[in-house]
Amino acid sequence: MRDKLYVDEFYGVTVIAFYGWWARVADWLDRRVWGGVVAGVAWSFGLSAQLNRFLDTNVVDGGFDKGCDELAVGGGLLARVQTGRVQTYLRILALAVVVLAAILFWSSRA
Amino acid sequence: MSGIHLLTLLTMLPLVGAAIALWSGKHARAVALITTLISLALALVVWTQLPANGGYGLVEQHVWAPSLGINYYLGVDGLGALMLLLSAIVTLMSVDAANRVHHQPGLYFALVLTLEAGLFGSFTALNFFHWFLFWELCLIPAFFLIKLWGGARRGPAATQFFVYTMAGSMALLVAFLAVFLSTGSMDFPHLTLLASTGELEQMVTEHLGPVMLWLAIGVLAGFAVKVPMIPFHTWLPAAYAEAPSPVTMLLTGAMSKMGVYGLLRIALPLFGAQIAQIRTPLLVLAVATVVMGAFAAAAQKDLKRIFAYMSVNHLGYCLLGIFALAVPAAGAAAQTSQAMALNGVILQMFNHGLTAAALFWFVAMMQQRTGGHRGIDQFGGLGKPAPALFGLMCIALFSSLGLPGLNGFVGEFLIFRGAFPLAWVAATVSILGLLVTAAVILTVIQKVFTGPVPEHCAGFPDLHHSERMALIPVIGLMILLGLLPQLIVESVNPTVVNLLAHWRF
Repeated sequence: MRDKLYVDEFYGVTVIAFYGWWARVADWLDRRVWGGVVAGVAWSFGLSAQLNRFLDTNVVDGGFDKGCDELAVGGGLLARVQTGRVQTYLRILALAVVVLAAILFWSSRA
Repeated sequence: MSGIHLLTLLTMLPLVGAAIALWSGKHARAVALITTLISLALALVVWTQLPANGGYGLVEQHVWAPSLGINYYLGVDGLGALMLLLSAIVTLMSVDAANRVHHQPGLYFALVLTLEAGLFGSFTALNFFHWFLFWELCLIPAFFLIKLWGGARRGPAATQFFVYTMAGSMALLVAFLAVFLSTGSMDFPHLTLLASTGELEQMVTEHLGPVMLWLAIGVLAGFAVKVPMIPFHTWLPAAYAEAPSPVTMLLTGAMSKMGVYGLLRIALPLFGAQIAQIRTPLLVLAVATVVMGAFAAAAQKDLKRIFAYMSVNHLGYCLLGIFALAVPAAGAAAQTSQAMALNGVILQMFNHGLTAAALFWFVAMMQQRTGGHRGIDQFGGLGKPAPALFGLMCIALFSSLGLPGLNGFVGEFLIFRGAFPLAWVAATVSILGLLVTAAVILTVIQKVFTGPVPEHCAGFPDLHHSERMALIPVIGLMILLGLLPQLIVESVNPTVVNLLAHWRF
């Protein structure tokens, strides 16, 4: 039987070649396609986390911090009124009475 | 021993063992060995107390939070009891294999025992909430075991494993909340009864509209991740390769069975009709899991990744059997095929668990002897210096190949015998998986055990006496179940008949 009728060679270029090629395809699908989808999902989660951090730091925190600053300034101004001197409080009270009287006067005319 | 408390005792014992192991330092492994041995004895007692009619035995039921449908509800049939036995055996093997844990052994063995408790709880729970607690409990110790004791890339592997499984769990939880809102019950036997008469679908449709198919898909997604089914499997090779080998034994031997168990305990009983509706695409995915798992194994050079992909392939046979039988059976012949396929699936769960865990055990021994080598091209000619390792590992490899006379054959044969009349195209294409697995296993044997011995394997020691003594019962069980599969089938078959009688496709 010359060269065993090339059975081994035929087997090599058909069955063995298919086995090796398909094994590489299965491995590639696993690493690139299915693994790629998972990596893509992980990447999108990472991206949304970064976006969230940006919004948190620059928008939410920014707005909140600004509000806090304004409150602190307003509080500081109000604190100046709190002197502990009875004369000052009476002056403010008298001023308030004058303002209220003026409002009542103008509203009764209308 | 009172049957009333046996399942609770079985579940609590590893938790007690874990608490003791945590404070036992270097004696933690001994504590874990004693605990797992007692657990195995208790699991055997459970196995002997199964009711003859295939229904649930050793039932324990207590009200927990009735307004939420939550009950402390335990019970086992042939399926649950076999999984208890498998979990007990695999955990014992894993503890025995972990003889070189030097970094925080107390914590390591406490986590292993907690994982065992999670497995026992999930295989005995008959209420969704109760079951879900233990299902999630398994995830936490598994995550830390990979993260703290794993290989170089353990961080990403552990995170991927955790996130993947959690995503699946969320899909399951949402689907089950919808079922609870519609029925007011979370008890599996009650819901199975409702599903078998078609009432479950009616109630869900009345409350939520035509969403039953989507709920089925949610439940299937949860279990597809755990089994795993292609394309939800990408966490597995990384987790199996990076986990320490004794932990991989637990992941493949016991935890992967939780997914198949869930399909049999929850998905098919409650959503049988919906699974039958989408049976064809599910069969395509099952065949892809069988065939692509086998081919992907052929492309690997790392022994752990080879066995990881072979696990995907072997669990694909379970999926093939499950989806093939999800069809309205017309006539006695079709019913017989369904029963054969289901018997095959349950046997395959047990046999794969035993064999795959043993294979990873062998890898652990080879790594210990060569300073961590596990590439198939790094070994060669080990049959000469280590004939006992060669002989015993070859039996495990041939069992994985499905050689007649060994346990691996019986389950696969029954699955194919049952699936062929029900889904002949899927069964025929899946045979390709058998052929490729055989080629992969023979390549492993050839590269690892024949040819010249490389320099770094020159002084490769054979199995020690204690290692042989530990392995012989496992290998003996493979031979015993290959020759006398009726030891399991006789106890499982009544459950199979009982399950099929209540499933509606």
